[in-house]
Amino acid sequence: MISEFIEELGAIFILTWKTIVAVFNGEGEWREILRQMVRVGVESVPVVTLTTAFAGMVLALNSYIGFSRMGAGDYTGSVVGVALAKELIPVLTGIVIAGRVGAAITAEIGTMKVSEQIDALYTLNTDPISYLVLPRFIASIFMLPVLTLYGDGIGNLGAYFVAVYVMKVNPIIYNQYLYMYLEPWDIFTGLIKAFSFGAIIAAVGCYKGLSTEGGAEGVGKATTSSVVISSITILIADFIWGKILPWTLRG
Amino acid sequence: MIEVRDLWKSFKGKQVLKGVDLFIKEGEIFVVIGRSGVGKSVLLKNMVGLMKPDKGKILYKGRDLTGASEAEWKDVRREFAVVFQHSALFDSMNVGENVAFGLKRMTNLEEGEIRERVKRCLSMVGLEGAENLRISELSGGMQKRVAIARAIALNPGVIFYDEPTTGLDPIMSANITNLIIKMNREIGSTSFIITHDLRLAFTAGTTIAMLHDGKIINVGEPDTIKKSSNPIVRKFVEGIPD
Repeated sequence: MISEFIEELGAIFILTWKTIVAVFNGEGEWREILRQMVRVGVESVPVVTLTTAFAGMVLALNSYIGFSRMGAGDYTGSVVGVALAKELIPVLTGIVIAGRVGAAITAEIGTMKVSEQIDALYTLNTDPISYLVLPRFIASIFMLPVLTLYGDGIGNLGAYFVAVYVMKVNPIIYNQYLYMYLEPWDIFTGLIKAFSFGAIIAAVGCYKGLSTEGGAEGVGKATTSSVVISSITILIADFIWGKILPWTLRG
Repeated sequence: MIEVRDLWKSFKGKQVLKGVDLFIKEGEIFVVIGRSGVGKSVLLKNMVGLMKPDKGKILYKGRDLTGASEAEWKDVRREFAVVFQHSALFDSMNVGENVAFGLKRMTNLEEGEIRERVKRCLSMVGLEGAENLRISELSGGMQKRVAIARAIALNPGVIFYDEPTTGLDPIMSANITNLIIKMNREIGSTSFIITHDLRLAFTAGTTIAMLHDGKIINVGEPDTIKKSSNPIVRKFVEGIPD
């Protein structure tokens, strides 16, 4: 089980490397990249809105309850802002997009694989990496940070709403502590993470699609596996970013 | 034109091809028949470079394709076209885009010339004006015809057909058979068909080979195969149950 996981990670890394080489060779079509950006980014806005709004709301609620026991309820904004920007929004957005977009990528490419469309691409002198993987990869790595930035805004609005209108924190004090303790680096850290999560989602999704075998059952298995591997890898990557990169420890 | 010499291929320890030998002449319709699972599709995929043989040689116009690099295959594939078993049309595109796909990527034709070529190819397969139809709107027979139009669009030297009549009703099978013969005559390309449809094999084939247990056990003109004394060939041709 663990050796299979490591083997798959190796294969995914090789696919990612080939994709990066294709990017630097100037392969890929802008029209298709833009189409994928719409699929990954614009079409994910509703689900990201809901997820991040409620994440912000529930974090504000529980933070306030915890802090008010120590008489520090006014500090809710500072903790919520930092936690949302550095951890919760990038990770939640990554996992939600892994479920929505990563699954769709695997299902689409997997169906193409089992219906011989990938073979047809080869016979028409078209490399599936530059034609299928590259646009999805570029779309994911650029749209994940955009969605995360958007999610930061929505999550903080949700947190503000709960803290100020439900828990009756003074809005001026809430904002004062939020701006005092939330540093641009915190937001930037979240965006770097989101960038890497985008790469993970696209690479895993495309790899699982291209390695799909069997018919409809194979596509189903590959899709499930894609979401599971992406989600686990996102959590591992989040830990690695948090532990290794010194600037993520600032503040 | 195409020569296959002592071709071997195995999967996970299971030997599928055990020394296949074939010689396909220019302009002929060469048909490989055999029961399901004997390795017909594996043979075809090796011949078009979608799989690499374990052993043996594949020669095209005297050029050895065994161990050819991807760049060399790209060059050869300009002369090859494949019609897949389930058509393998790109369902995110319409009919016209499917037929134009190879033209856009493998030729330097202008947009207008591509449109004209697509129109002509669709007309040749009896699908005039179908350019804007979605793939999901087409019947199995129509999809096969679009796949043939996509194949002939590049004026290939060889067209490979993988079970072209599978899943079609008898009338549509006959139509596709006639279309294959028509394409062979009109564009003068060589055709290589793998099938277990005997009506297709005996109607279209100029040479028929029987693949059994990973080897070619009989090759000849349709009449020779029909009258073969080989018990395995006779059993297959006459449809005698196990």
